Formats: sequence, C-alpha cells, structure tokens
Amino acid sequence: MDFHIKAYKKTSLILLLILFSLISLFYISNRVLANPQQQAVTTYQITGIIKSAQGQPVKGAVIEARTPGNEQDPPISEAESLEDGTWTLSFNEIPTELTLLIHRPHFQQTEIIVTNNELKTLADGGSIYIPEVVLQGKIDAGFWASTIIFVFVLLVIATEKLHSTTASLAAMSAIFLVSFVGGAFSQNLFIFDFETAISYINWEVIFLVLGMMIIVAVIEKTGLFQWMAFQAYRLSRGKSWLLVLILIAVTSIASALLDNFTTMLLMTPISLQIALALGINPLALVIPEVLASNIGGTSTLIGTPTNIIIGASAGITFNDFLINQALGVIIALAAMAGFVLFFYRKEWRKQSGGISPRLYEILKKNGQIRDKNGLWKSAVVFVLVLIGFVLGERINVVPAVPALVGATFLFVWLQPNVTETLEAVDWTTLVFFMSLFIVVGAIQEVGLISIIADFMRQIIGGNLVLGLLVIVFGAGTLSTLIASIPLTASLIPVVEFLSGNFPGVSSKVLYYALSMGISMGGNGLLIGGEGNLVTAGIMEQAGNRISFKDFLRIGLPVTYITLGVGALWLFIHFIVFGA
Amino acid sequence: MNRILCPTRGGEDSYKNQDKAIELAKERNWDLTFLYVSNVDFLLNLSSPMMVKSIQDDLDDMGEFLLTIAQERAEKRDVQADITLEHGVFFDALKKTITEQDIDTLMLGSSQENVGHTNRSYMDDLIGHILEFKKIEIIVTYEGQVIKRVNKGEDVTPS
Repeated sequence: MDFHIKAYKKTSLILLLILFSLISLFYISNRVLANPQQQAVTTYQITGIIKSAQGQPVKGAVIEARTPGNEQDPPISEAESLEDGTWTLSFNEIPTELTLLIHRPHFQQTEIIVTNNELKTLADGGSIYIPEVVLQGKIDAGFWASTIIFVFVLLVIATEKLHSTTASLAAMSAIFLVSFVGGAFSQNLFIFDFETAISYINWEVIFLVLGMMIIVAVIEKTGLFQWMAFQAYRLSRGKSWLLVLILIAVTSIASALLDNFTTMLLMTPISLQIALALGINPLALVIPEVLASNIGGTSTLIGTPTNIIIGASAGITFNDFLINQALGVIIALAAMAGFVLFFYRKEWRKQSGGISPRLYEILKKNGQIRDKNGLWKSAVVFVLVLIGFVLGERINVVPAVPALVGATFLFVWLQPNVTETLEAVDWTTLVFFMSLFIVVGAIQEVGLISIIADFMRQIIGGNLVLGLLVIVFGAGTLSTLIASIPLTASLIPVVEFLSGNFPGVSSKVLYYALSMGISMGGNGLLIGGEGNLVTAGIMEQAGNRISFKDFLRIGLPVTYITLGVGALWLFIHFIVFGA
Repeated sequence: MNRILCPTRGGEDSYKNQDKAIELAKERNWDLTFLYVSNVDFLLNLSSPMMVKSIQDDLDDMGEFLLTIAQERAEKRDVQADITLEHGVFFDALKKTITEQDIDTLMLGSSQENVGHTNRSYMDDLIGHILEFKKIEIIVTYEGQVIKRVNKGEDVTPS
C-alpha cells in the first residue's frame, strides 16, 4: 500500500513538473516572439505639413490613408495635424495604391495620390515626406453664421442696446447653437467642438485682470487719487494752466498702473470741484484728464485691458512695454498737453476770486486720505507686484502670477471683508472676456480673420513702414467707433499673420503699433472708451454735460496728433535704431 | 413758514435758475432749500456693484460741494438757504423732500427743447406726477426766465 501511495505521489509530481515546464515554455516563447529584436514589425511613416492659403499652419486637419475604390471602408491609417501643421501617418503594410484624403471643417477637401515611386521608397524601408499641402478655405454656412454673429455683437455693443457682457454671452451661445445643433443637421454649420472653443480663452489674461482688480479694489478705497488731485490744486497755487499739466501727469501715471475706468471714476468728482473752486470751465480740466488716461495707459502691460491681451498673446512682457513704449507715450502726452493748453487758452486767463474758507474745507476733506493703514499696505503690495512683473520675466513667470499672489497677500495682510472685496471685482468684465475670446475664436476657425489678414497683406506687401502706419492709424480709427476689447481680440491674429510676413522682424513692432492705435484711438469720440463714458456720466450728474461735439472738437485732433507721434516713435525706435 | 424747493445739479447752466429761486425767496420772504439728487445707476452698466457703492461717497461729496456753492450764492444776497442731499431716482427724491419739508413752491430749471434729461416734455410729465400727489405751485424756468407756472393745478403761466 505504501508503495502504491509513493508511486502515485511520484507520478503526480512528475506530471506537475511537466505541466509547469510546458507553461513556462509557452510564456517564454511568447515573450521571445514579442521582442522586436527577436521578431521585427515594420512601421511605415508618411509625414508632411499642412498650411492655409495664407501660409498659416493648420491644426486639427484629418489625414486619412485610403486605397482607391474603398472609400466606404475605414481608412488604413489616420492622423491629425498638430499646432505647427505637421502630421505623421503610420501603418504596418504598404498597399499597392495609396491616396491621402485631407479634410478639416471650413477648408476644401484635398486629395493626394501617393506615387508608385514613393510607395517603393516606403517599401524599401524609408519614410516619405509630402511637401507642404495648402488647404483652400471654404466659405460655408458656418462662415456666414459666425461672421454675422460677430458683426452683430460689435453693433450691439457700440449702440449699447444690450450690456456688452450680455451681448457677448448671447453671441457665444449663438455660436454654440449653430455649431452643435446646426452642425448635427449639416456639416457646413459645424464651427468647432467645445474643447477647441475653450482653448481660445486666454487664461493668463483672465487671471492677470482678476488679480489687478482685487488690488485696485483695495487701493481705490484709500482716497489716494482724491488726495493727489487736491495736492495738485495746492501746488498750482491758483494757476489753472499749471494745474492742468500736473493733473495730466498724475492721471497718466495712475492710468499706467491702474485701468482708465477706475482712474477717471476717482479723479472726475474731485477735479470738477477744483475747477469750480478756480472758476474755470470744468471741461478744461476733466477732458484733458480723460485724454491723458487713454494715452498714459498705453505705456505699461497693465495700463489697459487691451495691452494685457496683446502682451499675453504676443509674449510682450511688462519690461518690454516699459522699454519700448513708455518714452513714446511721454512724448505723445507732451504733444497732447501742448494742444490742450492752446485749446483752452481762454480758461487759463480767467482770474478766480478764490473760494470761501467753507468751500476750501469741504474740498480739503474730500481730498483726504481715508484709510492710511490700507494705503501703505496696499502700496507695499503694489510695489512688490510691480517688482514681480519686472523680475518674473527672468524666471519665466507670467504676470498673472505676481498679480494673484499680491492680491492674496493683501487679503491675508489687510484682512478686508473678503465678500465685499471680491464683489468689487468686475466679474461681468471677466465673463465678457471669456465669451468674447470664444466668439473671436469662431471667426478664426471659419477663416474670416485669414481673409482680413490676406487683404491687408495685399495692401501692405513687404513694406514694414506701411504696415506700421496702417495698423497704428487703422486700429486707431476703428477704435474710435468699435469697443476696444473685441477689436483688439480680433486684430491680434491679423497682426500675428502680418508679422510673419516680414522676415527678420522679431521686435514685434506691429503689436506695439496695435497697442498704440487702440489706446490712443479711444480719444477720438466720446464713445471711444469706458473712461470717457464714466467721466461724461459723472459730469452730467453735476450739470456739466459733455456733448458729443464738445469732446470731438478736442478729442479727434488729439487722437491723430498722438497717433502720429506714436507711429514716429515706433519708426525711430524699431526701424531706424533696430530696437 | 412757506418754503421754496429748488433742485439743482450745479454747473453754470443752473446759476440763473438758482438766482431766480433766490430772488423769489427774498421777494416773498420764504425759506429756500436747494436739493441735489445723487444717482449712480448710470454706472451699473459700466462697473461692478461694489465699485458703484464705493463711488457713491465721492458723488455725495461732489453734491455737497455743489450745494454749498448754491448756498453761498444765496447768502451773498442775504438769503439763508438750506441744503439737502438725496439718493436714487429724481422723482422719488423730489416727492420725499416735498413731503418732509412741506414745500409750497417747487422751482424747476429746464434745459433747451430736446436736449438733456430736463427737456420740455420731461418737465410736463414730471409736473403732472407731482400734482397728482400734492397740489403745490410749480415754476419752470429756463435761463432765469419763467416759462411755465402752475398754481395748485392751474396753469397760470404769464404770457
């Protein structure tokens, strides 16, 4: 019995060993077979690049490899072009005939037949490169829908039929409806998918604006601007021509660091009182301040929302704006001041009998610092944020970071009412930005921007000076009529395209031209900027209405004088001296 | 004591109308109140609600300054004028002041025919609404001249 048990155990053990060996052998043999060094699998590649008719790389084009006559079957291989327009098709076997079908919404489908020689090269182990494929744009229903929606939103904003944020949200919604609902019925209506739409939002802009809004919300409560205006009044000692020069300087510096709207909101009430105290027409002080705020804001990255958009899109830093634009802006301000002194010369001759002690005390009270503690703390933080902008460039830190860090530090240090301070953030403007970026993205997708850019290239050709002048004066003139933010967002891709047209131009001079044109153009008409409108509204409250004509008579000449000075500065700085 | 109410925005355009109110107060030996109505609603389309709230103080300061100028102009002509600053919609502020200060005569300054908020048709509507809640004397002036006078609901405009 023991013998049988022992034999049984021995047999089982042997069988187990055999089974284990077989399993191991099977596993090892599979690993060996899978090892490419042991058994190579050849992948064949075809690469290429796709560009638009305007020479811009096309992202998101689908390239399908097919054999002729098998259009209904799935493609042999498929690829999608990248941001730079390049693509790579890979496949394991080479068919006897091969056709490449390239398609993308808003472009005409293109077919490329791979020649026998090319197929032979592929079969011999090489890869082949398809030379630049140019996709022709297609004007389809989606193009018209996007264009009409975009023009409509510009008109609605310009005529103030709806709040600008409501208008841009409505436009964005319309774009989505056309693309997703319309696109379900007809491919021609498809504009872009949701991911692509969101990719057009420039988050660096959003967060930089957000951070600065929080900082400004703290500073504006301190009474700093009102105090500066009152000090200007004291320094001028009753000389109204000197007062207006000091106020121009104060307003332009304030506007370079804060936005125009806030600057004028804070400066206008106290300036009006000072004008009445001096016995001069309040328009003689307030309108030059408005002009100075639009011009002064051009000198820094954070001076205007349009500069923030341009800086983020073109990679122009805080330092770049200061170095390349500030001096030109100062010269333009000097030209503006000269014109203002001439225009209001009768006002400067008026002799004021002075104001009563009671009125002086009211003025002094209104020009006081209201929160000394808040002022010095917010000033420290603001200076640190500026240092962050200047030094951040060296360590590739985008300006949004110091702005947000500074805003957070203010919350921790000052401990203001968080809810109240956050309520001071103009969320409607941020939502406006986001929805607008998507709307402008739509017209880029459908090719409208390319058509405009191509048209401008026909005009400008290879003449950089002409390009500079067209952009400065063209953007400046449009800026008098069209809201600056949507105008900037839609002109940036045009400028990007035109910049590529001038080989060797790495100085981004055309972006600076856009910045100058947009900001200074805001002086042309009363409706040219939000700073203008808020000033007019406050003056109306005080019985000193600024009519369209009042503003036009001084604003329009100042606009074209300063645009000329700005263009000349850019020409000398970038083209003559090659900065 | 009877009282005249003169709403004003300040500015040179309003000086002649202020003068008319001062002249009337002196002539009748009545009390005089200048009223400024501060309304920031025009900013709501342009700015965040919190910033609108914080600028209210600056606009109130401006209103106080303008009212003090009107008050001093009255004092130069030996008329003691009171000043009142209200907020919100003009008509509501007017009603409130007329009620609280028991106003007998309201003096309104009108602008040119179709310019600005205080044009003629606006004035006619305003007068109608005021008379609906209180029958007081209402005098409308333009550049210091009386262009309309309504006494307790009856148009007594001098020809």
